[in-house]
Amino acid sequence: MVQILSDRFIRIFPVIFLCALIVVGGIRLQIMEISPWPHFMLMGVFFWALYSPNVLSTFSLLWLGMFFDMVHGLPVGVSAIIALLLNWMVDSQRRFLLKEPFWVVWLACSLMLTMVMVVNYLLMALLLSTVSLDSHMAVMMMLSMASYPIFHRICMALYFDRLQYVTQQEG
Amino acid sequence: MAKRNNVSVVHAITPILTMVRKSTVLVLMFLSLIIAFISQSDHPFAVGPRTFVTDIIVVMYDIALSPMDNITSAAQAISDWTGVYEDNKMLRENAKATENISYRLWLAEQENRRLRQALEFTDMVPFSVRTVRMVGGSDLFRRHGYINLGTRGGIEKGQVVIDGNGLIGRVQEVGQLSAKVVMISDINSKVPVLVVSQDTGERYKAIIAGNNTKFLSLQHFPVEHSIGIGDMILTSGDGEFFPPDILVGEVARIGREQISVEPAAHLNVTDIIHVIDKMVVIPPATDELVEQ
Repeated sequence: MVQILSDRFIRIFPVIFLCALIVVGGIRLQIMEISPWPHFMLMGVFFWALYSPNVLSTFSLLWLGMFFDMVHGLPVGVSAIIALLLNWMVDSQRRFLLKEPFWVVWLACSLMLTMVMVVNYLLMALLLSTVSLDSHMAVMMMLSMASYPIFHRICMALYFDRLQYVTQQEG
Repeated sequence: MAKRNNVSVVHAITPILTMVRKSTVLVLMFLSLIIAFISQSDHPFAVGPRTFVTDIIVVMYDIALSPMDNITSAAQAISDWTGVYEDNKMLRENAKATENISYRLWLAEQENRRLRQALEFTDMVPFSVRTVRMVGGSDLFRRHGYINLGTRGGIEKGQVVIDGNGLIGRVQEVGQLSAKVVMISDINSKVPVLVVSQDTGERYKAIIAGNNTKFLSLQHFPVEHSIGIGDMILTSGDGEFFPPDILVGEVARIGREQISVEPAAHLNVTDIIHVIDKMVVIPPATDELVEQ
């Protein structure tokens, strides 16, 4: 029974963890005009799509994206599209990335995040019929890239047992 | 034999499963795009779930941030206690300095009342405000925030939001426990204003438009003007969305065709703000009032 509960918790842990980070990312910090948080959701999607792809299902990504949009007051569905897109991108490069050293993974993460954030920008511009240029997106992207190694370490530490289990299964 | 059959079934099913999985992703992406378009509308079908989730999140933020409030107020109390002697000395000096000013203000108020009476002037001023907390942040495309009061707290769509320094924005969407405030710096925000020239004292009607940056853009001002850096911008009250005479900001930069305005309110940085609850009509002054 304990084992079943533990397995279930391990399965839903990424979703709960990312939901909590999405909520944290919505907190206003009174030091800057715009909250300077990295894009936790995309970092999480990248991490789990790479190391444990079966944990975040496509439907989980849909709900996570919609939750992100609701928390941030964005058109609901845009983040779901970019989460699904990122998941698909990581999935297509997974076999290659798993064999590579961490700096390659980090570089791939940075490239993929940049690409999906550009798509995000274009979708938002299309939906809101406005073009807006300021440093917010660049700051968010840089923060996400810079903080990915820390995020990676934390997720590894929190999810290590499960990760070991998955890699053993897939190995 | 049975094993061979199983293997061939797995081989046959795998490509189909992969195709289904890939098509699911595409279908969900398409579905998300449709939802995104629908969510942009003001239809109750879109607004209902959105405000429901916002209500939950704002309550969560409110609970999560309350210990921080206590810590901040405790720190403030300690700081106040340590500086009480200095504060007292400074306050005594200030009190002496303001004695003369308050007498002049009283005279000006009397004069103002008499002039109002002479002109039979009717005006509207903010009567009461509600102090609320702003949570949630802005993003690249939107400048907004959420407040921790909704319809249950008496908040209505269209109410004006200010902080201690000036205009912040307007309530755009109201849930039961929260409401969405669109700031004046939002790209879709337009506020009718009056520019008060410091040099000539002239007043020009114009529009303040947000552009998702920390400066606002002054539009539709007269071609010939004497607007200078530092001129005050107040709401004009035109259009009946914003009450008159609320400080919006001051002129910060003057270009060839563009005038930039620095907002008086600390947009996005302030967390305790006020929602103007009620406006009251000041009737023309009477002799009795003046005497009072």
